[in-house]
Parts: sequence; C-alpha cells; structure tokens
Amino acid sequence: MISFLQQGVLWLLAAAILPVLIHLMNRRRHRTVQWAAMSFLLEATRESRGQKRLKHLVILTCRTLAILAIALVAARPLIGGFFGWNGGQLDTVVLILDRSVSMEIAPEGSSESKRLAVIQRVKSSLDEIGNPRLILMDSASGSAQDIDSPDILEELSAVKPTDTSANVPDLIIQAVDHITSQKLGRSEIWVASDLQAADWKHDEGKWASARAALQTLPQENALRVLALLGKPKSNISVQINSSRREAEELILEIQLFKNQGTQPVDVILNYNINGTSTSTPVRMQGQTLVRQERFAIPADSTSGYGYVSLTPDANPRDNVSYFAYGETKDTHSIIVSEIGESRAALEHAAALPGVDSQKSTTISPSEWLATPTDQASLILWQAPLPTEANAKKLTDFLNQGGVVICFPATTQPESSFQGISWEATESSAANMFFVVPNWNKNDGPLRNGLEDRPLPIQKLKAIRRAGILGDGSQLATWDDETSFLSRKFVGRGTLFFVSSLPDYSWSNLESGDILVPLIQRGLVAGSQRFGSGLAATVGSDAALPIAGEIRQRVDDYSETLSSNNDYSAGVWKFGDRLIATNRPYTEDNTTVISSENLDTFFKGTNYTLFEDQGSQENDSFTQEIWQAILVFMLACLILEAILCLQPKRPSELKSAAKTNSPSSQLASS
Amino acid sequence: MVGSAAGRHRSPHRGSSVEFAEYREYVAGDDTRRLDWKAYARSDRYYIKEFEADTNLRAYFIVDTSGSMQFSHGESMTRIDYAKQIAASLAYLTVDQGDAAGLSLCHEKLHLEIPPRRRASHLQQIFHTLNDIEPKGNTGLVGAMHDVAEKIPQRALVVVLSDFFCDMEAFSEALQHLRYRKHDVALFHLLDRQEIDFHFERPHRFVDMEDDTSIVAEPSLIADEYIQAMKAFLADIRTRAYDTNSSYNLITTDRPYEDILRDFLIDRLSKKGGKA
Repeated sequence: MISFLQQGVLWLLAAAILPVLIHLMNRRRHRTVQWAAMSFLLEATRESRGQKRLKHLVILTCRTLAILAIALVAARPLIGGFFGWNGGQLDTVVLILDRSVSMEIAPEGSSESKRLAVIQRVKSSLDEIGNPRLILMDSASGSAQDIDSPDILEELSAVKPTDTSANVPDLIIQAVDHITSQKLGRSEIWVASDLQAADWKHDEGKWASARAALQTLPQENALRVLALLGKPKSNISVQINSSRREAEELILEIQLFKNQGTQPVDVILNYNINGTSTSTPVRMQGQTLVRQERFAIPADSTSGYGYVSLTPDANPRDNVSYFAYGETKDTHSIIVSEIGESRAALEHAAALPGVDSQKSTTISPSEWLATPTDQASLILWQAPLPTEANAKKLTDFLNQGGVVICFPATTQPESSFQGISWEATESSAANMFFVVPNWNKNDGPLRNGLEDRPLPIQKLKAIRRAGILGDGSQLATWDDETSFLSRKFVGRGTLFFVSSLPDYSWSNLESGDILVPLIQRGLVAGSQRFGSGLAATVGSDAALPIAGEIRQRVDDYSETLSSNNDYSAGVWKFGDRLIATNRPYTEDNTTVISSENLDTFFKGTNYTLFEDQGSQENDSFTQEIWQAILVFMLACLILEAILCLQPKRPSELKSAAKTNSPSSQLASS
Repeated sequence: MVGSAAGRHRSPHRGSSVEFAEYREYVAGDDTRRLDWKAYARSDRYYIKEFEADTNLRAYFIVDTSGSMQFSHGESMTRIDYAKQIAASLAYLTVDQGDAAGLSLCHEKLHLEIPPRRRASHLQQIFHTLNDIEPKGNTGLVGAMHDVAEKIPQRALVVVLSDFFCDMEAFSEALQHLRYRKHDVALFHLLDRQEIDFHFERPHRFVDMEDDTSIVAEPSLIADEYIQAMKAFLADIRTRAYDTNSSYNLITTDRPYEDILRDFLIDRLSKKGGKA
C-alpha cells in the first residue's frame, strides 16, 4: 500500500492531463497549407494505421506517466503496507505493545528481540509520517501513557521486557475506550505483536466485544496489526511443573521444551537451592523433556527457594523457573461418591497406601454442604452434578484454586455444572470396547511423565461411558472422537470431567494405570492453592503484594527495574511471606495464529495486517519510494525520446532530385 | 528532323547537301544531274547519289496550367513560373536558330494552342501568352498531349512541362500516342523539394490546390508512407518515360533553371551526334 507524506500536492496529479490537452490543442491549432500532391497524402493517411498510432499513443502515455511520477514524487510516497492512504493525516497513534515473554526471542538473521525490533520500526515510521501524538499502551500494565517523543520510546520502563503474557482483545477494547474518552481525534491503533496464539486466542466473547468497540470508532481502517513473524532462532525453555516438599526432600518436576527440531540436544541444567548452585547435564531426545529431581533439605528448615536455569539462548526470559517451598503439608481429598465399587478405587487413588501425607474423606452428596473444604486440595465428584447451593460451594472451591474431577453418577438427573453436563450412558457393542487413542501428551493430567514417557492410556477399555456435553476443552477422546477427559478453568481452579467410572461394569480404570496419575496430578495441582504463599504466575493477582506488604527480591538470578517488579518473575518476599513467581508457561508455546484467525477476530471491521520478518535490513515499516518513481519517470522520458526520434529517411529521393541525369535517375530507382 | 525550311537539323529527306547518304538505282524522272557517272563507268548501271538534307526544327511546348502548378513552398519559385522560364528560354533558343516554336497551354477547361512559327514576332506572342498564364482547375495535360500528337503533321520535339499529377495510365497512353507519331518527347517533371521530403513539424491542414478539398494530418504519423508513395510515383513515371523512349527530367524548383537548360541541351547533343 502507498501513502503520502505531502498529500496536499497530490492535486498536481491533475497536471497529467496536460500532454493530452496539448495534443488536442495542437490538432486544433494546425496550419493550413495549399498542397498539390494530394493523392499521395490521402494514400499515406490511409496506410498510416496500427503501429504508428500505437507509437503515438505510447509517446502520449509516457509523457502523462512522467508528469504523474513528478506529482507522486512531490507528494513523498511511502510504501510498506503498514500505512494506508490516510497515514499522513494522523493526529494520534495508540501503540499496543506486546511485552509478553515470547516477544523477547530474536528471529533468525537478527540479534535483537522482536520487542526491540518493533520499537525501532515504530520510531522510524512515526518519524516518517510526521510524528503524530503517540500513546503507549503496553500489554503488561494495560495503562495508556502519553509519550512526548518517539525518540525516548526505548528508554521507557513501560517497553522493557516482562515475564507476562498479553491479552490482546482486552487491550484493543481499552485502547478504543481511551480514544473515545479522551476524544483523540483522528487516531489509529497499532498492535505490535508476534501473534502468539496464547496472547490472541481468548474467548470469542472478548473478540465480540473488541469488534463492537472498534466499530464505534468513526475512522475506517483504524486498526493496524504489525505481526513480527520472523522465524525464531533455536530456543529451549525451562519450567517447573511442580515443587513439593516431602519431609527432608524437595521434589522438583522440571520440563524442558525445545521450539524447533527433534534432534538430541545436550543441555546443562543449573540448580540454585537456597543459594547453593549445582549443575546437571541432560540430553533432550525429543522436543520435550520432563525430569524429576530430588534434593535433600535440612529437616529443620521451615522454608526455602531457588531456581532452575539454562545457559542463555535466543530468549533469555524463558531460561529460568523459580520455586519456593514451605513446611511439609498433608494433602486432603474429598470424595463425594455414591456407594459402589468406584468409591473404593477413588479412595485408593486419592490416598495411596503407604503415603501418610495423603488423606481423603469420603462423603455422600447429601453431606457436601456440611463438609468443610478449606483444607482440601482435590474433590472427586462421583454423584449427580450439584445444583444451587451445592454447585455454589463447589464453584467457590474452584475459584480458590482447588481441583475438581467429576465422574459419571449411576443415575443422571438433567443438570449441568459450569456449563458442562452428562449425556445418557452408553454401552459398547458386545465383545467390543471403547478405547482412547488420542490424548494430550504435553498438557493436562494425562501428559507424559518423566523422561517424556507417555501414560499407558491405550490400556483403558470401557464398556460403558457417559458423554460429556458442554464447553470444556478436550484433553482425551474416545475412538469416535467424543470426549473422554474434558477440562475447564474456573477462577483459579480447574474442573475436569471423566467419561467413565473405575467400576468393572464401566471400565478397567480401577486398575490404576490411568486413574492414579490422573488423581495424583490433580492432587498436586490442587495443593498449589495452599502454596499461594509460595507460587504464583506473573500478571496474576496472587503475584502482587497485598496492602501493607513490601516487595523485596531474594533470588540472585537477575535484577529487575523496580517499576517492572510486578511484571517480573523471581523469588520475592512480600513482607514475611515468600513467593516464587514465574512467567505464564503458555508463553513457551510458539504457536501463532493465522491471518484467517485475524480475519475471524476482526470480522466486520477494517484492519490492516503488516507482516514483518524481523530482519535488520529495514528499521521502518515504511519506505520512501521516490527514488523508484524517479527511475520510472526517467524510463518514461527515455522511452518517449526514443520513440520521438525520427527514423532516417531514405536519401535516394534527395540524390535523385539533385542529379538530373536520366541514367542516374533510372539507376536510383 | 522534318521541316519546311532548310535548317541546322538533320532531315530524313534526301536533298542537296555535302553529306553523302546512299546510292540508289536511277528511275525515270530522276534529275540526271545527280547521276554518278563514275559508278556508271564501274558497273555499267545508272545510280543516283543521295545526300542528307538539312532541315528546320519544330519545337512544341506543352505547359500544364492546372491549379497544382501554382504550388511553391517557402521561398522557392512556383512550379508554373519555373515552367514559364524553361519554356520561354527553349522557345527563344529555338527561334533564334531559325527553328519553329509552338505552345500549348492546358488545364481542365482551357486548351490554348499557338502553332509553331519561326518569326521573331511569333516569339513575342509566345512570351505574352506565357506571361498571362493563371493556373487553375484540374489538369488537362493528357488531352493536350493527344491533341498535339494529332495536330502536328510532321515530326517535332514535344516538350512537356508539368507535375504529372494525373492518371498515369492515361498519361502513358498519351506518351505512346506522341511516340507513335514519331515525335521526340522531353518530359520536364517539376516538383518542389518539400513535396519530396515532406518535412513538416506540426499538424497541418492540407488543401488541394485543384479542387479545394482538405485534410488535417499529423505529418509525423504519415511522413514515411507519403515518401514511399512519392518514391513509387517517381519510379513509375520514370519507367513509363523509358518505355516510350522519352527524355525524363526530374527537376526540383529550388535549382537554378539555367543548370537545367544546360544539362538538357548537353544531353540532347550527346544523343543526336553533336546537333541539338
């Protein structure tokens, strides 16, 4: 797309009609001559068609184009796709800057991160369009900040790297609100992002709101998306899936993720526990490696902290994961179950024999309201889905970070919980089983275990199942692609639905190969709510100090700007309590959305997508193209000159006329 | 040349002259004074000795007076003025050496003829007539050539001065008619330099000098085609002149007419063995 910095001189384009006018005037202002050899003139006129007239038209076109080119050059055209025809007339630009972890990776061919690259391009582009007012809205704080000059943009703390994710639709809504409330005049929203799916794919409700907000703006084409899509360099991220203390041992479950390639890679894992550093070399065979490490800790220590780090690579923000631990705490499960075989299996999986720290309480559905849940990590609900007060209590538990796993009841009254309900039970054909061929091996309670070993899900055989109906996401599916395991995040907690029962009349779930890891991982996840004083995700409320608490960083991995403390991972002391904050691990997933996704998100609104490969060859979204137009003009003029050159006429006639000898005349003919 | 008076030009008739022509046998009625007695002595037969007889020239000038003869471009002489000068000069030279000069003026509606005479006063009449010419209308050249061919009883030099912008087939027939009547034909093709070069810079309205029709044209677009057409025309007329054994002289009006006359006369001398 082309835009113009000096649109005022575009009226010069009208001058392109001059050659045509001159041509027409010339034809009207002809001279009159008396002529004798009229028959030859008529014959010549009849024969002069086709190529000659085409040549004349080309000459006229060349002259017209040359004038057009002059007018275009005078208007200072820009090209680059990010700006449209209205680029030069902006009053305000609201820049939504994605400061998420994934923006810190450097694309191939560049040494600077996508975030730094986009800042440079924004600066150059703003300069080229006359530096309109710039308002920065960064993804971490979500607040609007008036920037005096783009020159200081990269110095601002509001553009520095963070360990947060981004919520793009929310930011767009906020930007529109800001433009509307501040009456910013002719404004555009520029979204600078790497289009990472985790930052863009929020629920459809958010996008519907964003679309509605954009449609309230008076200006068309008010949204421009700068997508930094350069292929990232090879990168490995580390995250601590769980950290728990068992007596005098600290157990860390560590996961490594490689963003490209499946070749084996040797990696050095650096551990720092309470200030003591150790290293372990490991070999990644695939794209993911899950590893459990146990560290001895003093029995008398009440708390501690540390981090696991990798050597620096393409993205320095995902090379570390922090943890903190406190005193040993028993885990409690509540099993709401009908009497039956499955109850025993659930009790067995929730409190493993020989593990004293795991306790479970089994109640009937009628006892639920009276049962306290403040010490519970996990609730297994194998009963008709709760309604009214029961449902509210269970929802409260979820909101506080608990994990609930629902199993089918033997009787299924028509009810739903959190938008999910059971379908009627279904039995398999005689001598046939329902099996689960597909499940998520990287995420959820059925993810691969240590050393990336998968769970033996294929051992599951069911003869009875209850369909799961609702808006949960599928983590495992039966062979007919209906859901075996669904998940829905509710508040800080997680709700699971399992489609069959650990009962011989339903399936072989009770054998433990699947049920035990499923419930134990739920237990670990649910226990995190008691570790809210120990772990949190950057950007969440839990990662912020409460009123009266003073934030102080205690780990020594890196330093952060005090103004960016809220958006930085690390081990912190909030007053007396210790907390390890980490980036949202969704940032490690490099999946990006497609342009079709964007079309869907912005359906009904006009937006411009500019895809930048992130190379350092050009530090601007725009490029003045006057040189190219001048070359074009020169080419037009040269072509015009060549075509205007009269071919050398035959000299025979002249020589014949000058030589009167009949013989020479005949010879010349 | 055939003439009614003795002159400077060789005649096909035998007569009294110093130049021997041939012997022929005596027939009754021959002048016995012309018997070659020496031949009789050698062969015992009567032979008459024939000599070439010198006679006078009849030159007939056909001048095209159509409207196109008024053409001139820039500072060059009009075609008709050029034709007048050539015709007048040649007529003067003709009468001056005792030959007869006649004149035929022609255009579409006028055919004026002055028969050949040798008197000086007759020359004045030719001059006055040439002086009074006003070119107009379409050409009547072909008709005039046919008329001349029919009316001149004896062989003559027919000099045609024109631009020859006429029907070539009819013109060719008129040439053959003249040659059939044994006339010696010289064509003076008068053209302006601009008519050959067609060198114009900007659009022009071209108005026909004979019938006032006009056409607006962009010279740069048609110049090549025009020049090709003109070239073909010149080649055609030159071929037709050659086929009828006529003398053809392409003349541009920017040349001094004295040069033209000199070249013409020298050319005729070389053709006729020393006598014009």
